[in-house]
Amino acid sequence: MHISKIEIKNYRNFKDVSFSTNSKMVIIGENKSGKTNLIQAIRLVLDDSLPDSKRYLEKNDFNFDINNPIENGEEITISIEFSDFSDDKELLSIFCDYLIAKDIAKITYKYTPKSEIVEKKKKIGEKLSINDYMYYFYGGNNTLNVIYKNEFLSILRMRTLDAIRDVENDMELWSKSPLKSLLTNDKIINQEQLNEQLEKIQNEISDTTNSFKHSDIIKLLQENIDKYLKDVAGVSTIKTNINLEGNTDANNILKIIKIFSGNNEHSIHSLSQESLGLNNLLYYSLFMLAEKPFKSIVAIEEPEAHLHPHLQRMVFKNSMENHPLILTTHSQNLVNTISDIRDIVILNNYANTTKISSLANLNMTDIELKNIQRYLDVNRSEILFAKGVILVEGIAEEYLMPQFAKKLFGQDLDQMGISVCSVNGTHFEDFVKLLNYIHIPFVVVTDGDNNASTKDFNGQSFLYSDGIVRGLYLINETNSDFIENIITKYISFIPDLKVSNGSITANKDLRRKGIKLLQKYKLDLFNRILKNNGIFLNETTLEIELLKNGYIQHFKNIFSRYFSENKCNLIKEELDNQIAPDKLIGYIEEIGKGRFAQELSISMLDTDTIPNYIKEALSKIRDKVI
Amino acid sequence: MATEFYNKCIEECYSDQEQIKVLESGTHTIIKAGPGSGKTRVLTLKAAKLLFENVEKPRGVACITYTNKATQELKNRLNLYGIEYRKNLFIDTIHKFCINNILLPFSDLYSNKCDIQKCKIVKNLTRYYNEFFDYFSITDKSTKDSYKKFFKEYKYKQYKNQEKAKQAYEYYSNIFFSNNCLNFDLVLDIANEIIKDDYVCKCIEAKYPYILIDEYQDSSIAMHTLFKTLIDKTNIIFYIVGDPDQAIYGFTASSPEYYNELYESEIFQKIEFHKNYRTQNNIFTVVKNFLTNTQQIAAVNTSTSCYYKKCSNLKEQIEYIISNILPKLDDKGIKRRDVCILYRDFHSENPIIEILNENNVNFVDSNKVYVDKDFNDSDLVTFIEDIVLWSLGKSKQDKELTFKQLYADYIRIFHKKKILSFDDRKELKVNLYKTLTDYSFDENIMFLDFITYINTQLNIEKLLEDNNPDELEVLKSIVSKTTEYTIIQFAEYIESENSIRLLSAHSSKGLEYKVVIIPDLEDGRYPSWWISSDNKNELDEERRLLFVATTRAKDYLFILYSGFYISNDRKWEKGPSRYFNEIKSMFADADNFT
Repeated sequence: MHISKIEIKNYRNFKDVSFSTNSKMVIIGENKSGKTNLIQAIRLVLDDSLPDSKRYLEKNDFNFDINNPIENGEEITISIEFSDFSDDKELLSIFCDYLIAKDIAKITYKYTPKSEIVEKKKKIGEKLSINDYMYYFYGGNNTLNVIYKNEFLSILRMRTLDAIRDVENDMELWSKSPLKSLLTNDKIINQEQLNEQLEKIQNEISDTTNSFKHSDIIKLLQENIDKYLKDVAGVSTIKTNINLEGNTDANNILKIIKIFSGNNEHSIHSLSQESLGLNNLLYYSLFMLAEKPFKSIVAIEEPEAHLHPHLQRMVFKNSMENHPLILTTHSQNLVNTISDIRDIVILNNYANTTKISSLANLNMTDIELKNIQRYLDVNRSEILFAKGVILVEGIAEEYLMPQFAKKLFGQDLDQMGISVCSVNGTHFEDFVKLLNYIHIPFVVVTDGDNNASTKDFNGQSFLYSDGIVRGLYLINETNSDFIENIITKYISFIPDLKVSNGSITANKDLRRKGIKLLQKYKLDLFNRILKNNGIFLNETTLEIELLKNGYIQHFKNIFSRYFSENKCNLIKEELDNQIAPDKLIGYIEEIGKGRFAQELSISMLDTDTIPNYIKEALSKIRDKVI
Repeated sequence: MATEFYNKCIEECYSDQEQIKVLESGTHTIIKAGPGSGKTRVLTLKAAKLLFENVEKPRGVACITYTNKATQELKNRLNLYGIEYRKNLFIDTIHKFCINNILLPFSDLYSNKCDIQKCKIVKNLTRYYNEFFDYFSITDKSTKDSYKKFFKEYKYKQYKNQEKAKQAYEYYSNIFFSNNCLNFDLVLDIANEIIKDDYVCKCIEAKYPYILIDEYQDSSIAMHTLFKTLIDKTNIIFYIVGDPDQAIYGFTASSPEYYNELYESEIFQKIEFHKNYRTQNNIFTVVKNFLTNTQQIAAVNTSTSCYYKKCSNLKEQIEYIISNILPKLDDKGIKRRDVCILYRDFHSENPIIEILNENNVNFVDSNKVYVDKDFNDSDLVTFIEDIVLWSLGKSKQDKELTFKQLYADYIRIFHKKKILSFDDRKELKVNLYKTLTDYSFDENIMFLDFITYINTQLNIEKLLEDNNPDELEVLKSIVSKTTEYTIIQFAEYIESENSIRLLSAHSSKGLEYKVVIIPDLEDGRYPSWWISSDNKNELDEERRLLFVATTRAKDYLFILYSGFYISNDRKWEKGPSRYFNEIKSMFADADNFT
């Protein structure tokens, strides 16, 4: 069983969200993006330990964008769908009354004004108040299929570990200790045997204390006290009784059971002497152990607040086995350990309303997913946490982009929350899909790879740009009619290319031909279109662009450090006489593109030398982020 | 928690070899049990035992009965055993079973004929049937009857002219669908469609690993098909009780053959109850001789004495009852309410009433108050009876009246479609209590005024309209039939110690009385004269009807006849019932009854 979909309407920062989920949910988002509210919304439906009074909401539980929600009789609904339960007879026996499809059950919490009061007050023109509200649950899609929460909560439960907790204290307090749920649960400990043990202890305590009580020294003390009471206070009716024993019934013994730590039997100490990290781990383990026999959904808020990164990973990986798990986290480290990125749910806050993007909804092939997954693994999932992303081709841009930005804005990209992401090639599509989906703004910076020697159908050479084709193709990824529209708009007069609907995107070759012809006439036009869509091109490659922008001396300096004097002179001459791009890249690759870029970044010139397309890209992403 | 009472009952069961078998059985079990053999008790005990010992929450048990009355009785008993209502404990009729477990949860997913969520169930079908008969210009009563039977069986039988049959059925069902209505037969037909899906079966099995069914001999082919699907496709274990000798509802297309089919099936463990806890040996020995499904029943507790009297006509028969039998019963200290006269049908009902009235004999004829015989099985009628009796501080013969029970019924009947919060419930409860207790009861107040008062306080008419529209018809009909009653008369009517009971033989099934009197036992009445001598099935059912009627008696059974019957204004002298002739030797002359 797991949660497969969540829908929330009008609750706190969720105006109207609906998203599918994987069996595990890892919720990420900035502070105040509503992670805790999301957990709270789920708790309203599923947490049996939540006091009933909490389900009677208040005015400020309504979404802030709604004016006078109560007077207008607005409703709050939270629906949770479950799937994969049909082989569990106990769950099925409950869920089959809430079905919306085979193996999909839906439970909805609804907070609403009572209908007859709404009618009554409407008639007499009186305003609704919060006291006119009630809540109820219904199963499936039929709002009349009212269900009592105990009906499903008797079998399903949800437990939450808050981000802020005082572990040491909680474990000391019997009422809060996870040890309590372990010791008093028949599914974990045989209660009969436990009681037998406790009674045995109780008897032994009595026996031992009796001999103490009847010992001569104690008797003497007792007599002294009584004598004193009689002589001094004149009281003879009271007989004192000195003993070790308090109230030793089995239940009280149970309550004083505590957990200690230590490497071996001889070095046992109390938890207050233990490190906070270890206590947290212990608390966490007890908590998870107590949930093991139940069909429970476990929510843990910010596990990184208490656990060392290594432990986070261990704990996360192990605890994911048995239970549907919901985590909120800021930790890239933790997100990195996720084996399926579809577990990720991203919250973005706009004004008072949160948008939710669940990667479980992402429309991607397995191969595309694996590509993204691989990238996230290497880069610690950085882009998922970014406010904005600059997608670049390779390592050279990755090194140089932050330097350019620092020169241009006088501020680090990191400070602005912008990540530079190198896709190691020109396959931007997967990333564009992902970023679009999770509502993170981005720009693409890529080479124009202009090539003047391409020939058209008539055998005439013309200027062809791979970059533009790539760019148009990228836009088409998210706006699938884009290229078709452009072709109809600009080249419908070319009879060869008149193709029927749909076949344009299907026939890649044909499209390429179309674009080739297109850009012969409209190169600037397409560059503009691409810029508007956040795709920025140079003419050929970054390095040539830099050369044009006054970096010639830098290049010469770097080459002189890596090549023999003879070769160096040859290159310098070529540099002065408009070197062919292929040749220049050839030399740079001998040094290594990364190394070359690193060298270059150390000796960066002023803002004027930043190539124009990069300036534009940086400004655009800055504007989007702010 | 099991109550003391439960433990006591279990213990009692363990002194009976056959009943033990049922309690211990863990496989499909079919029980053949005659009248008074304690079958319903064993079935409820079995249900309780399963719930206490075999079933883990939240899974449960389904107990399926054929009438609301039987449902109430089962609920009361389980309550006494310490079983509290919970999710997945189902005790109700087969129709409710289909609606709650098959139609409502799955209609969206599997059927597109009509929006079941919005459909209401209608009981009074005349209007809809007439639409059908008008369309096909059918006027003849016997053709109408055969169509009514056809509607119930179409889905499960083959017809020579399949195309014509299909058209007729579709026209019939569309009459209901287009009015956003369903009847019980269509409920079963749709349920049988939906349940073909394996997933639906899986869901039902998840809820109810055990299903118990009472009175299986009353199953129609639609019900039987449904159960057989579940037996074939799931691991649900069935406990089935029935008595093919008591199948008397042939006119509703039920037949003992379905019971017999299961009884002969290899997968069922067969248990026959031989002991009888109600009537004496002789009547059963006699009866078994003339039944087709014979069974040996041994007497255990009490003894029934049987008497007969031949009079010159029906009037004299009734007068004999009034002047000879009733006074002697009074002398024995038998209360009038423990005496029951069973009549064949309205032909004898009306003269009997006339004569009883002439002689100022108090009697309760449920059919008189509640016109339609469906009303006998109406929740609303039971509720109104209960609140009247409770308000007057009286109790009911077969159950204890508590406010808790009244309140539960009130919610069930009047507020079933509303979403109630905790506060709402509290308010309704207080309101109901106030309404019932604030009324100053003058015993001479008119019943009608009482109903009007209840209606103004609780707005029941409106509530029925919203929640239970077919019960509204019942309410209106009761009101129109009871205009001349004071409230105390109404109460007496339903629960008077000093009135004898008047019932049709058909509706006596499942009831028992100390004294049962059957007048009009002529050949031509039992069996009815219009049944031809070669119609074995119907003749068998007539036999069973008399079997049911005679076995209602705990202590005394009286049979009266004149040796003729009148039909079409002609006197037919065929002698007493042919069945009586077979058992006459066991009867003593009623003149010798002291």
